Amino acid sequence: MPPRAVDMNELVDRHYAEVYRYAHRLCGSASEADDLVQEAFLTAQCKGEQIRDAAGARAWLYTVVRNVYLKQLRSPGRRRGHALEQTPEPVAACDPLELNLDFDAEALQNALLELSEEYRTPLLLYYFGDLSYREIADQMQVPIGTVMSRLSRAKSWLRDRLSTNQSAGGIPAVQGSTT
Amino acid sequence: MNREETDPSCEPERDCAAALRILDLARPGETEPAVLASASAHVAVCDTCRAIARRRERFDTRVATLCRDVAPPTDGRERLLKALATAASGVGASASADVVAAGSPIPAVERVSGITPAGREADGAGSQSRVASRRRMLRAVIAALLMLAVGGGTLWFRRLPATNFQAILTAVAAVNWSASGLPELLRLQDGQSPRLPEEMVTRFINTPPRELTVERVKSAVFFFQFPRRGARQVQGALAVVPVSQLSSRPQSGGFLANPPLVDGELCATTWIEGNLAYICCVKGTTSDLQELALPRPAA
Repeated sequence: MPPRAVDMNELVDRHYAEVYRYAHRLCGSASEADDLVQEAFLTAQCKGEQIRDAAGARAWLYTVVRNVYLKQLRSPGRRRGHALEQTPEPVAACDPLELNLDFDAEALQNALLELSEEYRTPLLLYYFGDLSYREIADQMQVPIGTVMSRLSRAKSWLRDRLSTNQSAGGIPAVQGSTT
Repeated sequence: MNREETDPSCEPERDCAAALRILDLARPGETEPAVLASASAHVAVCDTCRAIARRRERFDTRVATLCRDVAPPTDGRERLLKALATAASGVGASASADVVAAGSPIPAVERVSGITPAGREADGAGSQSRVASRRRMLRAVIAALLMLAVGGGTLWFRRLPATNFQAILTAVAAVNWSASGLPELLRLQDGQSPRLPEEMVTRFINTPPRELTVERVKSAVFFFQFPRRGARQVQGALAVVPVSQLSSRPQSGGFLANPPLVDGELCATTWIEGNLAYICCVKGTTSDLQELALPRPAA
């Protein structure tokens, strides 16, 4: 049986906005997010038979967005964020009872971009809430335990980062940072 | 932090840490019920852990809300559809065909709207051909600028009208909720289908959306009713409108993420999902409206 053709209009209607948001939070730039989303949907148009069902389409699009982003990240002069191992702890761990809830989208985006992609991606997929832990693991091609561990550490780091009001200056500059 | 030192009701430190770790990543359907139950049991008797868990839950809600607080470009969908149509008709199709499947790194494709490196180098090395190439490029740039100017002007004149959610709510309140006099609406003005939201219970909505025009903006309204205790029926209406056509936007969040608005006999809440804004109101109280909230995770 020939593969079912994907209705691109429907795919765009259903998923464009959410995929754009994910791309924007992943890369931190509107124009780059635009490109990532366009690449993802162009890929869907060419490889639509890989989209098994409507429910799985968004996960599939997220995967393509991440793959294109990783490809771009490998180009020279790109900001890469830090692995948590290389990221100094925030000045002080926050008191869990005094967790800050007053941060804004910009502070969140800045904190996300300080994380390396391997921590940022599971964090975003967790907060976007569309994918199960198994699906996140499949997308990142790592065991589910690794996803849980990265997520736990990244969430803890994010809580401290956004609660201790630490300026971006507290994190060492990244060589070749462009964004 | 030595919270256990100050909280005599607390179990040993490892119980607190373990319970908080479990609850931090707990998700409905993905966490072993027995594991979740043991963590919940600890939190039920430990005031400090309960306070921390609640605070973390609010932090997570805040982050999740802000993650989605990104407005896609208003013309992004149209540009994307145009790019897809261009690619489908052959221009750029070869580039797209090289794209590797999801799950493995993929090469970048040429922008369908860009000038490709191949195009730039097509004229070879001769100086005459380079001059000709530059002239062609100049002509192309001038033509593109002219098209942009004309297109931009046309768009400016044909800009979609806009309204605000309060005006929509007032209009919804004013019509007959049997909806018999309102026509069906299958497409909104920006071409989208009026989708049901994912953030609220919608199983009571069985009829197609109706068209309600407010300040030249077509909103799609689903009228419905749902049972409450004592066999009482509560009437509700759900209006859907593209975010791009709202002059003042509700906060993103989710269903009832913002305090409900009580307006006469109506209780209403607004939120955004994707590029659609939703306004849900009931002829009843906040508690009736809360009946339409999806169950929250046990954690």
